[in-house]
Amino acid sequence: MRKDFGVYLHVPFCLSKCPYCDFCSFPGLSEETRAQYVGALIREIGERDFPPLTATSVFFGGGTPTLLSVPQFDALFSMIDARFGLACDAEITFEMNPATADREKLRALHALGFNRVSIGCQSFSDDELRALGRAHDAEEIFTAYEDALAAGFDNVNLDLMYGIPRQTTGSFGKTLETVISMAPEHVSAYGLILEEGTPFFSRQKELALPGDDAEADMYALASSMLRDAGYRHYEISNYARPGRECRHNLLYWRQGEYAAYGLSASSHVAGVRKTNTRDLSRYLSDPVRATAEETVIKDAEYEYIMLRLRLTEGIDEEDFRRRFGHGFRERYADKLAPWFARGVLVSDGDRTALSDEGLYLNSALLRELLP
Amino acid sequence: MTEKQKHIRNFSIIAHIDHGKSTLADRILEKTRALDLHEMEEQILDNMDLERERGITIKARAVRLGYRAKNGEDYEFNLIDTPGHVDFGYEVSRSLSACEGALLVVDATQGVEAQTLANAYLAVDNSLEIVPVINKIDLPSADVERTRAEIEDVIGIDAEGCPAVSAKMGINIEDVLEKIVSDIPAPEGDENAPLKALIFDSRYDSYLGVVVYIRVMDGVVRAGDSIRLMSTGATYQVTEVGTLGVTEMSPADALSAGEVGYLTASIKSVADTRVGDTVTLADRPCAEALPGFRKVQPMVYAGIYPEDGARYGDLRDALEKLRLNDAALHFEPETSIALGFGFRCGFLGLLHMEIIEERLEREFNLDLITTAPSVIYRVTLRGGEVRFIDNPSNYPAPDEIVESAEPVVRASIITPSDYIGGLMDLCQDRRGEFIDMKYLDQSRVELHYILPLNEIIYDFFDALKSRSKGYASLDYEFLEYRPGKLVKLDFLLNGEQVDALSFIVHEEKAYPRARKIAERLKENIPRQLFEIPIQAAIGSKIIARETVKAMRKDVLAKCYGGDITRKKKLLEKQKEGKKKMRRLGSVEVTPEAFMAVLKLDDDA
Repeated sequence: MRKDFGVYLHVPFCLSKCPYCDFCSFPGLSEETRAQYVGALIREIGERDFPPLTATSVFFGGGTPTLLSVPQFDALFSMIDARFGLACDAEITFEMNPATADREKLRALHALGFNRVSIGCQSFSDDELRALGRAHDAEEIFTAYEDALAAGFDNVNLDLMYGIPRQTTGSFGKTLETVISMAPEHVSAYGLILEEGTPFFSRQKELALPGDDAEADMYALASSMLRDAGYRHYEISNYARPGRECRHNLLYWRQGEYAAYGLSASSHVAGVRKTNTRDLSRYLSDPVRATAEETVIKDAEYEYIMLRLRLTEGIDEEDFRRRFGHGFRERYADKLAPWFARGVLVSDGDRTALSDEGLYLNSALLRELLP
Repeated sequence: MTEKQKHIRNFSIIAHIDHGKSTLADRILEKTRALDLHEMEEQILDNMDLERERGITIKARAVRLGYRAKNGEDYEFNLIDTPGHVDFGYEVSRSLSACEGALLVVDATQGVEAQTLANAYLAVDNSLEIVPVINKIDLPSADVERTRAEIEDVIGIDAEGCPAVSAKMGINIEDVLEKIVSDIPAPEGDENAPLKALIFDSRYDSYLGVVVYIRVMDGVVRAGDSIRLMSTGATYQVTEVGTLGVTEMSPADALSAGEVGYLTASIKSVADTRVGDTVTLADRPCAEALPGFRKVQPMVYAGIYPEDGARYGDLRDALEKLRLNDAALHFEPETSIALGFGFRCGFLGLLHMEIIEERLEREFNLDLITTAPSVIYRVTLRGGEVRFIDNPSNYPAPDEIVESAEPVVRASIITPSDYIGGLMDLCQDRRGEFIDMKYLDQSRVELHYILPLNEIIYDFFDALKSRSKGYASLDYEFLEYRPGKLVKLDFLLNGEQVDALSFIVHEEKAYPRARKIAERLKENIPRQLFEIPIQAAIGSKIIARETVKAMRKDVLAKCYGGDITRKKKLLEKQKEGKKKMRRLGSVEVTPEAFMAVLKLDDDA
């Protein structure tokens, strides 16, 4: 079996900065700066020494990649194709926000070879979208979704958020119902995180956040409703129709290899993780040597546990033993015992995985297991 | 009276908090050119950081100043600053008894307030001449005439022609200096009588040993003299005497009757030089000691533990250093099952305790866990043995006890009459026994209560302040031990008793307090994998219960792209944060939980 290999490309443009967002993105970059950035990406792709493996997944993330023009998409796409070559069944995704690409543009992107689109919906309640400072309303999500289908995309992800200020389990349930009725192939539902340095972080006291219990309820609701609607809950925050799991993201969680380009992008090749700078001017001046952080992975076992326990497939004893020379359950028996006892960690003999409830306690278990 | 004595003025400045005591002291220092202006840091007499921050004086200080009066003669002023809190009431009274007069500072915008009165009484008790000073006349809302009238009506001292100043702006400070000369009596005392000197403070100096601050009442003391401390009978050879400058000490040949200064005598510990003690000559002692001496005993005990058990040695060294300068601080090692190795420490009161804690944390960079403060209970056992219990975990089992008694104090509360109702409710609620109520004038009342000390050491002062908009003042002194229905309240987390949380409470208070503390503990125990029952028990009887629900959310739900390193770092950072938690058996608890038992008054 040929090994999967991914290519990630970061597009740090956005229309406006949402007050909870700490991704590397900048609103209001001039046309000229954007063009410079695309030029820098092309240089980086051309000159960095990633191995020339055939890409099985490509992911344009952001920011809002759809703020790139079609010719810019074309140039980047061609560059990646030339540099790595694309597997015939490659999953090629771009992220978009509603009202940032019309049907015509989506058609053009589909024609370029993109076959998956991930739409940042967050919620179908206009009040909640306002609370999040989003630049679109619910109606524009429907339009974007219909346009994507009309443009020929048959693999669409809808991104949702819960734990939004003033959100209730009831209102989140309505959003879920709406999503289910739209029947996308993939749904991501992320809990809002207050990241240091964001406006939400400094204003958290006045935000009327639903609180941990309500969030846990919302998480459980998403899991059960989406499951009932035929989605597989395969990662803490991700649901897919069988076979439509995001191949690119699975690479991350299965310690696969991927190249990554652009501001703040992280790659993982041959046991080394490199993360690019978040400093735009530094990147523009020398995109080929923009690595800000390089980590030689020393603790592969812990990372394996950390990533696999995000997945409902969990840890395969056989695979674990083959890689690390001992079994997972026997090695960590003492620390795992209370988790088995509460019933949030389950094992069928071959595999050990967190239950739906347990996935939402993932960090607590991982802290216990930290070396 | 000697010619020298005629030109000495020994005085204190007393005031209600924030009426400008320290600012006036600064101006007096400035006007007497005791130091160059550029050397001057605001409020130099309060020379601990902590004092400056809290705006209160903790230790007494003294300084000698020179002043040429308008009559052309030169005077020597000794300004003795006094601590400003009820915990240090005894030290205040000793500082005052070293003086002949006191400046009573009254804020012209506030008028006479509770502490003004309490301080004035204290000065009267010590037979001091009181010179009222009306301060803050620069403020638009200042009402000098009304304040003058209040001083006369409420305190009953003549305020006609008293100085009206702005210490902040430096207005009319000369008037104050002239009043000191004209109104405060010169010290008396017989230079030829045997030495009789009052210790009003002492501090430890690593080169000189203990520096003893004294006021000479009779006689003369010189370097080389052999002195005796009358309370202990211990004798020492004086190595140096001198006067107290603003920033340094100036050695002198002798200190004679009426003078204020210091002596050193190779004394190793401030515990040997108790405030209020009398210094005399070993070979020619005075007939009797000065009145009013008492050995200050700690009133409040608490366990202090290092958060990091490895720093036990550092904590011990730090406490030893602090004790060099603080005779009232007591400590001895103790062990807690929950908290490991630490010290049981004795304090004069809660402020004293807070100060020590803060100094340990700041000056010695220690992170501490402090248990709830406790008073000392007197327990009589079957068979007649009497034990004094300063640590609730050593409290005997109920069936061994014949009688238990708790310390009670006689408390005096001075308040504007508007707040009487609320304050009487408060005292009632704290098991107070009403003695009497006196109207000081139409609008001001003095309440007397007998209160159990354990009801007032935690948050009584705060509650008093909040129920009187800050106007009421409190003074108290130990009265006696009184038998009471006392019980030991224990707390169990997940079924295991936590010794550091136990405390003694009156039976009738046990239920409400157990409930409240259980609630507070619940707030201080993070949710964990399993639900955690919190139980309060008297003996084997559970009287209150709360539950910390099992945690449901602890996750990094977001996808940080392929940035796995960031995820791992976040987990490591979280784990580092969790290190502050104390593990009690199977339960993690925040360090604050041990103080949760303190905050009892919801109105405060």
